[in-house]
Amino acid sequence: MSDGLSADRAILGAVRGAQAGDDDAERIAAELAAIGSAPPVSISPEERWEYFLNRCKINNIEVHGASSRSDAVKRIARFIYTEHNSYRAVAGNDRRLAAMPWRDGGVLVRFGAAAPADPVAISYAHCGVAETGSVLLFSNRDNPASNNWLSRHHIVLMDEAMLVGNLEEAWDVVRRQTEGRLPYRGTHLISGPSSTGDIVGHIVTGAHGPQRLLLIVLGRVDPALLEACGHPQLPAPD
Amino acid sequence: MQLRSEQFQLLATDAMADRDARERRDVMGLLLPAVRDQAVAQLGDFEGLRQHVKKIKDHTLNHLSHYLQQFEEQVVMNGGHVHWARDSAELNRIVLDICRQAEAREVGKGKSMITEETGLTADLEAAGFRVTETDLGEYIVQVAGETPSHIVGPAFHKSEQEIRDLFFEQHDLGDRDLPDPPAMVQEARAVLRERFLAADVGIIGSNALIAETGQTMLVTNEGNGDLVSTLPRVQIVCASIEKVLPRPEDALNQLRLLVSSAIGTTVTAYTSFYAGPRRSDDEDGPAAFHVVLLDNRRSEILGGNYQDMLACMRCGACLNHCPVYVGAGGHAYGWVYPGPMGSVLTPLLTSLEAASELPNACTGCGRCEEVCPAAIPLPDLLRDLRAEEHNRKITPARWRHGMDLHSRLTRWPRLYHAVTGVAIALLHRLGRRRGMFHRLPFAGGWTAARDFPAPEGDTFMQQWRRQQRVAASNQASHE
Repeated sequence: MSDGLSADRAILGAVRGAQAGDDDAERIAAELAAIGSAPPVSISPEERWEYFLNRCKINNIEVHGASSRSDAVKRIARFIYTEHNSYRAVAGNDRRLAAMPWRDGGVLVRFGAAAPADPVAISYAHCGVAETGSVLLFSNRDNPASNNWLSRHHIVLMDEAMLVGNLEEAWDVVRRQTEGRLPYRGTHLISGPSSTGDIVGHIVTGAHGPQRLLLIVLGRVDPALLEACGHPQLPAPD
Repeated sequence: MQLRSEQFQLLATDAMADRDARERRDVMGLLLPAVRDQAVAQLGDFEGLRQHVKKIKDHTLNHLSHYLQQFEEQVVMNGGHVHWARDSAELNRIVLDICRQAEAREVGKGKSMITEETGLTADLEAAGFRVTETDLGEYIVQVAGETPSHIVGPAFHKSEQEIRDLFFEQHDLGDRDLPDPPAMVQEARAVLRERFLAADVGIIGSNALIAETGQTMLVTNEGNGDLVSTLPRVQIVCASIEKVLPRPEDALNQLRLLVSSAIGTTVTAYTSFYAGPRRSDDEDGPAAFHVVLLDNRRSEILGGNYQDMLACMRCGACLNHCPVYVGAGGHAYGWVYPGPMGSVLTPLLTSLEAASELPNACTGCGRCEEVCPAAIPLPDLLRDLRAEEHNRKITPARWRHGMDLHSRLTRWPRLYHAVTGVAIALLHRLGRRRGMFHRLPFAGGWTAARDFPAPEGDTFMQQWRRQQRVAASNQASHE
C-alpha cells in the first residue's frame, strides 16, 4: 500500500479527518479531568488483611507469616528442602534480599537472573494489593523478570506494612518508585501461579511458569487470621 | 486467515451436527455466564464502572490522534521503536523486516488477535521462520492445523481425547501416558519450554496502550506472554490503534471489567506493563523493543455509525452469552472474530458483501449488549448492518421485496391490521384441525426444522381491543 505518504502520516491524517475532537492538549486534558473518577473500590484498613488473604486463597497463593527475617529464611529453607531436597535458590539483587540472614536456614542463594535449571526463585514485592490478591514487582536489576517465570516455584517476600487497598493505591507505589526516571522495563501484578484452563476448562497450575507461588509476609500478621482464610501455617521453625 | 463468513449457514449446520462438540458448547454457554455474573457482582458498581470506562473510551476516540502521538513519544523516550501499519500486509512486512534484521530463526508468539487478523504466522513461516504459538490453546490449534474458535479460549472446541490424540501424534512421547489434563499440560510445558529458550524474537499482543507512560498492558494466566517478552533478544508488541488509553488508571479500570467479563475472576495470574528494552543495568530482557500499530480500516470506522465497536475489549462475554455462538460455534463465523462482536467487526474490517451472513446471525435477544463491559450496543449495530445490506441490495431480492412490502404496510396501520387479520384468520381456519403446519409458503426455513403453530384466530390487536371493550363495559356497569 503506497500513496506517497508515510504510514504514520497516512494513519494519523485519516484519524484526524474522522475523529470528533481536535489535538489541543490543554483542552483535551481539561475534558479528561472533567470526566472524573471511576466508582472507588474501598477496602478499609481494618478489613484489608482479611480481604487480601481471602483473595490470595482464591488465586492459589500460599501465604505464610514470618515474625522475623530469620523466621522467614527458615521457612523458605524448609520449603525448598522438602520440595527439592536441596537448599539452593536464586534471588534478585534487591538489597532487602541481600540483607536476609540466609545462613540461619542454610539457604544457598545465588544472586542474579534465574536460569532454566533453577527450581526456586525468590523475589521481594514492593506491595500487596488487597483488592485483587496480588503482589507488585518490577523487572529490573533488583528483580530480573526471569525470576518470576522460569522456576518451578516462586517465593515472594513482602513487608506487612506494604499492603495497599486497591489497584490505584498500588499504582501510587509505582509512581513513587519511578519518580524522575523512566518506567522500569516491566511492572508486574502477580496474582497466582502460572495456570491454564485451555484443556476443556480444567484449571491446571504450572502451565509455563511457576506451579506454586508462596508469599512470605514479614511482620505481625495474626496466625489465626491466616488459618481462618485458608492458609495453613506450619509450626515456627526451630 | 481466509475469509469464509459467507458460508456461515453451511458451517453452522455442520457444527450443530457434531453432537459432542455441541454438548461441550452447551456446558460452556451455562458455565461461563454463571462465573461472569459472580465476578461482576463482586465488582460492586459494575454499571457505574462501565459507564465511566465508556466515557474515557469515547473521549480517547474523539482525540485519538493526540493520544497515539503521545504514546509514540513515550515509547521512544523509553527506548523503544514505534511502527505504523496501514493494513495487514504492511504489519506482516514490518515484523518480517525486524526478524530479518535481528537475524532471527525462531519466533515465539504470545496470544494476539491482531496477528490472527493479519495472518502473521503464515507469512513468517512462508519466509522460513520457525514460529511457535506459546499460549496453550493457540499451540493446540496450531499443531492441529486449525484456527481458534473463541477469542479467549482458542481450543474450547476440542475435547480432552482430541488433544491427547494430537499430542500422541505430534510429540515424541515414547511409552508415556497422558491420563489427564495436568499430564497434558506438563507435556506441553516441556515442549514449549525449549521453544521459549530458543526464540530469538518474541511477539505479543496488548490489552491496552498507555499514552501517558508508553507502557503496553498484557493480561495472561499462563505467563507465556511474559516469557516471550523476557527471554528473546527482540520483543515486538502488535496492537491496533484503538487500544490506546490516556492514563495507567484508565487501563486498571479496563482491567477490572475485562477480567471479570472474560473469565469470571477478579484478576488474572499476570498483569504486566512493558515499557521498552532492557535497561543498562538489567540482567535480562530483550535488547530491542518494537510496537507495531495497526490501522486496517479502523480509521474508517472512527467517527461513523459503528465507532462504538472500537471500544471492544475482546473479553468474549458476548460470545459466551450468545445463543447463536453457543449453538453454531466459533468456526462457523468463518474468520478471526466470532460471536456478536465478530458479526459486527468482520463486515467492517473486510467487507459487508463478503460477510453479509453475519449480521443476520442474531436472534435479537440482547444478552450481548447487557453483558458487554464496554457498553457496545451490539444488537443496534447488527440491525444497522442489516439495514445497510438491504439499502445496498446485498440481501436476496425476494427477501428485500418482502421487507419493502412489510415496511410499506406498517406505514398504513389500518391496512396492516386488516391484512394481518385476514392472514391470521385464514391460518387459523386452515390449521385448526391439526393445530399446526408442517409446511408453509414463504416460511420454508422455519418449517424445515419445526412445525408452525396455528394461530388462535385473532391478532394481538383484535384481542387487545376486545379486552378493552370488555373492561370499559364492566366499568360502566359498576358505575
